[in-house]
This record gives sequence, structure tokens and C-alpha cells, in this order.
Amino acid sequence: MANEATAPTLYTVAAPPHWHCGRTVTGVMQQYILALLPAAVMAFIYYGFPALRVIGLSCATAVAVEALCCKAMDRPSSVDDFHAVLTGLFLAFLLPAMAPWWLVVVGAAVSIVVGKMLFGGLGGNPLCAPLVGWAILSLSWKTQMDPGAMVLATNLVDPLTQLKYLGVAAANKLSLGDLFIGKQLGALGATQVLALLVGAGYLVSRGLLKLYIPLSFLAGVFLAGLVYYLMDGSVYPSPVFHLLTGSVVLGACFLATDPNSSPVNKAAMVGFGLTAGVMTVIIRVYGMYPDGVPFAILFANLFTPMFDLIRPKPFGAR
Amino acid sequence: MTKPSFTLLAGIGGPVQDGPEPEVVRVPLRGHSTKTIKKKAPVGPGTLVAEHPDPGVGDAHSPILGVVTDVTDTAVIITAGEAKPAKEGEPAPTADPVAPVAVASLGGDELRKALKALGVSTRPFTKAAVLVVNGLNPEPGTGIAEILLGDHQATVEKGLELVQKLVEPPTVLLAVPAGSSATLYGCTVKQVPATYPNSVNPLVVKALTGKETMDGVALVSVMELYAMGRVAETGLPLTEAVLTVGNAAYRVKVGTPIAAVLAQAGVAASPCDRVVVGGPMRGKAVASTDQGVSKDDYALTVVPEAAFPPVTDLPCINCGECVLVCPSRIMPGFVTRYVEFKMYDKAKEFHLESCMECGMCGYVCTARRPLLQYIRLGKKNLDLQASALTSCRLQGE
Repeated sequence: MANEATAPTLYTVAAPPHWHCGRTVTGVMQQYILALLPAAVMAFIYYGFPALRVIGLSCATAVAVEALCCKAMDRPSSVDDFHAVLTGLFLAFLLPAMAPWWLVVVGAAVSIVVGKMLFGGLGGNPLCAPLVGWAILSLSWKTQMDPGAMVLATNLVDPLTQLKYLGVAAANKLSLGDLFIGKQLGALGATQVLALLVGAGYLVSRGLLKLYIPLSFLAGVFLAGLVYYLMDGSVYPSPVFHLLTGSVVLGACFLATDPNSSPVNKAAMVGFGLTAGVMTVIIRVYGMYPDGVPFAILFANLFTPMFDLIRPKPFGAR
Repeated sequence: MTKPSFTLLAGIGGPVQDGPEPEVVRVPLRGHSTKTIKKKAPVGPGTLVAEHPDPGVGDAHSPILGVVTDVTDTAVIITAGEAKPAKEGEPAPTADPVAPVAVASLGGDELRKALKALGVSTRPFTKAAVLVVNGLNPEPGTGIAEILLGDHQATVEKGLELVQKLVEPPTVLLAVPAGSSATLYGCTVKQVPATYPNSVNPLVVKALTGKETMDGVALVSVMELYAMGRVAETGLPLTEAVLTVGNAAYRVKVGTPIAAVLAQAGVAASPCDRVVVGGPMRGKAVASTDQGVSKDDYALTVVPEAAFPPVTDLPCINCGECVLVCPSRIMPGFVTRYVEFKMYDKAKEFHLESCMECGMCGYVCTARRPLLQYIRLGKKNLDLQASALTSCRLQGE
């Protein structure tokens, strides 16, 4: 052939499929960060620059700590996949806007080190990484993690502490519409219900968020809330109140759906979402923490290996 | 980058055009004997160049007049040109040397023998209660089944007659894409949604028989029927393949270099692109475009390097996309992680063997892991383990 005199053309040889949908880890993380921006903007509107301070510090710490971890583990840096930024953003959303700087730094570092890198990085974490950081912070520094104690210069009230300490009558005074647009005191991003739903809707429209877990989570919260409400409406608030307060929406759409710590089969995802949703209400009713969402998700995360055992019969199996 | 379409209606117009006249052919060998013909032997079109030891696998023949320039383990290389007789006094091969065989009048084992000698594999066609004809284009972007059913129906029906003689099925079912009006004589036609992976054989059988098993089912593709139909029509050995390349279909001599076919079709392949024999989801990427086209190829596809993100060795992030698209209802993410860490028994526990290798999992993988490659590696290693076990048992007896 004519080519034999010259060097042969080199082609890429790889196993099929040769097409790809174009979705990459980096791309997905960037889209998630984009989807969280409306909530971040709302947090700025309600809390001002302190909120931005927490978000920035949390993201920066997460990235720096992950880079250091990669160095210590003698492996190529994985910070360019934006997962550290996303983890930092999620953690910031769970913190009060006035959280002291050291709390944010410790939380972000713990999220990355204990939540993710100890298990080998992205793909190995058995629990939702930012929730690990949140859990350690809220067990260690209860006061600093309490928005009611930290954010004083505000007219907003925390619906869940109202419910816990003043009873359902106080909670019922709050307008559900206000709660929906984020007019409630709480973690800086988690309470931006409308903005988070906008972000989640965007991800769903891009095919990056599957609705099995979010819907079953919300259904779990609603159904469990409804059961208590029907048992005694003078002690327990309406199920819609549960849906709109605390970090239910953030948890349902973003934290419970963390890919690594959630199951993958359809039935398993529904069971996982329902479990986390029901646990949320149970913790709110009986637990010592006003908002049960993070612990409920961590609880469901622990059962993910068991949920993964729920799987359909393979093709052709008898 | 635009998302590729998974429709199985390629919309490629027929009829099949004649392919290039190659100067050199590399007739591919797949376990054929390399002793059948020697270097420098003169050959004509239809001259036997490699026998296959299996009685169910077709022999290989020269598609052109020329001289054998080399015989390797994988190909017989023939250079076109005037063929001189090997010895004084022997007749030189001509452009039309072999006598046609009338296969249509044969039956049973005689037919099998005749077909093998004509280069047609009959191994899949054992007696079965149902014969399923897969009339769907095998993959997105490959329109060959559509063209053969539309423009070459008579030839395909001749092939079907031969297969029916071998399989003797009480019922013959034909799968066609939804909206197609194609039929074949004696077939019960059933429409199948025209999206990949519905053209994968087990799924076609499921759509037609309702059962998730190949037991009692013989399966044949329209491309195979067409090849057999050509043999029945001409009585000459099978030395051609029909391929879709770009926006047309070509009848290409077996062994024609891929480069020549691409050149005729006007499809350019730049360095680092993937030149794929077959379709984009299941085809084989080749290292060299000098490689010859084989009998059972149905398409050539060039996938530009920049079209899709590169394959990575990132860890699985457990996003579950592969599980949602898998037609075998297995968990490719789990299976491939087990294979990656050589836990083949665990992979088997997760039903590795149920995989029908459609490639959908690798297509959707967020981490762009080579999922199908891992699955094949796992299958291969499990086979090796099983055969090692069998030989151990034999030694113990």
C-alpha cells in the first residue's frame, strides 16, 4: 500500500461502545453547583455578606483540604472534578449564616477527610460527605450550630424551634407561603425552599436528577407527618409544615440523592427515600434535634447496602 | 456536541452499490487452516484459500483473480493481477474459474456440506420450533437490514428458503421496525419499537416469542439471509459482504481494505479517530485500515476523536445510570467493580452472564468507565476458570 513507506496513521482502539452521552463527573458537579446558585443568592438576600462568607470559606477549605489529602495519599489531585466545591457548598447550606470561621473550617475539613477521602475519595464514601461534617459539628458545638442562637440581627423565626419549644400553636401562626419563599430562620441555604426547588427542577430537566428518591423522600415526610397530624392535630403540625421547614427540600433533592450513598435500583431508591422521609418526622417528633433531616439521611445511608440487595431478576433468569 | 440518536431507522437509501475494486485483499481467517494454500499460488475468484476444521463454519475463498502473496494466522493476502499457473501445463485461473453449485435442489446434510464449501456458516441453524428473523438494523446509523428488506427482498427470500430447509421450523417470525411495511414470504411479521437496543438478539426474541430464552429458537439476521440468497442465486462461493458506510450501502469483496471502502464512500478518518467495523455501540475499533472486510461485517463507522469525552479510569461513582438503562436488568456498575478488582465469583453472583453486550451502560456512564470491556474481561476469566476446573476433573478421573 501507499502508506507503507510512511508512518502508519494511528487510530484510537477501544472497546465499544464508541458513542457516549457526553455526561462527565466534572460536568455533573458543575451543573449541580449551578443548580444551587439560586439558593445561594436567596441566602445572600436574607442574611447578607455573612452568608457569602460562610459559603466561600467552606468551599475554599474543602478544596484546599482535598488537594492536601491527594498530596498525602500520593495520588493525582482530584479537585478539578468540582466535587470538593459542591461538598463545601452543601455544608455551608447546612450552617447558620453567623457560624464562626473556625466552625466552618473544621466542618469542611472533616467533611472532606472523614466523609470522603478516608474511604478513597469520590466513589468510595459510604455516607453523604457534607452530612458527616454537619453531624460532627452539631454533636460537638451545639450552640454554634443553632441558628436561633447565632443569628440575632434578624426578624426571621425558626419554625422548628417554635414547634419544639412553644408547641404547635406557635408553629401554626407562621404562614406557609412565607416558609415556601424561605422566610424562616435556619441553616442559610437549606431553608430556601423555592430556590432549591427551582435548582432541582433545572437538574431534572437536564436529566441529571432522577425523581425516585426526592419524591419518595417527600412522600415519606408527608405520610408520616399526616399520620401524626391525624392522630392529634393539636399536638402535631400539618404535614405541609414538615415539608416546608428545616432542610427537607435540600435533603430530598440534593443530599439523599448523593450518588454514592444511595441505592441504584428503582424499588430500592423508593424504599430508601421513604425510609429517610419517615425517619425525618420521627426524629422531629421524638428526638432532641429540631430538624431530623441530616440524621435521617445518614441513617438511611447506613442501610444502602441492604437496599442494594433489592434487585430485579436478570434477563432470562428463572 | 449533539446527542446521538438511537433510532434504528437510518433512512439510508438503497439499493446496494458496488464497492471498490481492490488491488490487494486480506481475506480474514477465523480459526481457518493456513495450510490450504501456499504463497505464490495463483487464485481466481472463488478459489478455496482456507478450509475451516469445523463442519459448521464456512470456508474462505479468494474474491479476485491474482496471486497469494502471504498467508498469516489472521489473513490470506492476495494481490490482484494476471495469475500464472503454478506449474507448466496446469491451466491458469481465469476471472471465472469455478463451476456454480445448485444449492436450491439440495437438502439436509448435503446442503450443509455444500454451503460450508461455498463459505456459508450453518452452525447456528439447528432444528428448532421457531425461526426468528431479525429484520431490524443492528445498530443506530447502520441501515443495512432496511435496505435489504426493501430493495433486495427476492434474494433475502431465497436465503430464507435455505435456512428453513435446515431449521425446519413450524413457525417463522420476522421482526421489523415499527412503521415498516416490509414482509417476507411465509413469515409472521411483528413490529418492534425502532430504537436501540431493541435490535439486540435476545430482545428481539423476547419481543417476538414473549420468552427470555433462546431455547428452541433459531435466529438469523437479514444480512445472513441475503448472503445465503446470493449464494443460492449465483451458486458461487460467498466472497462479498454488504456494508453501510456513511449514507450508502456497498457490496464489498471480502478482504477489501477498510481504507478503500472508506475512500469510495467519502468518509474521512483522521489520526486518533476510531475506525469501527460494525456500529457505534457494539462494533470493533480497528488499529489499521489495511485490515480486510470480513463476510459478517455489516457497517463501517468512523467516530471522530473529539465527538465524545475520552474513556477514563475514574472510580465508579455509583450514579446508577447504567442500572436504569440495562436491558438485562443487572447492575453493570457493581459487576464491573467486582471485575476490576478480580472478584469474578462476586461478579457472577451479580449475574454477569446475563449481559447481552448492548453497550448501553458504557454509553451512559458518568465516569466514562469502559464498562463493556470489564464485563467481557469478567466473562472471559470466568470461562477460563471453568475450563481449568473441567481439565482438573478430567485429570482426577
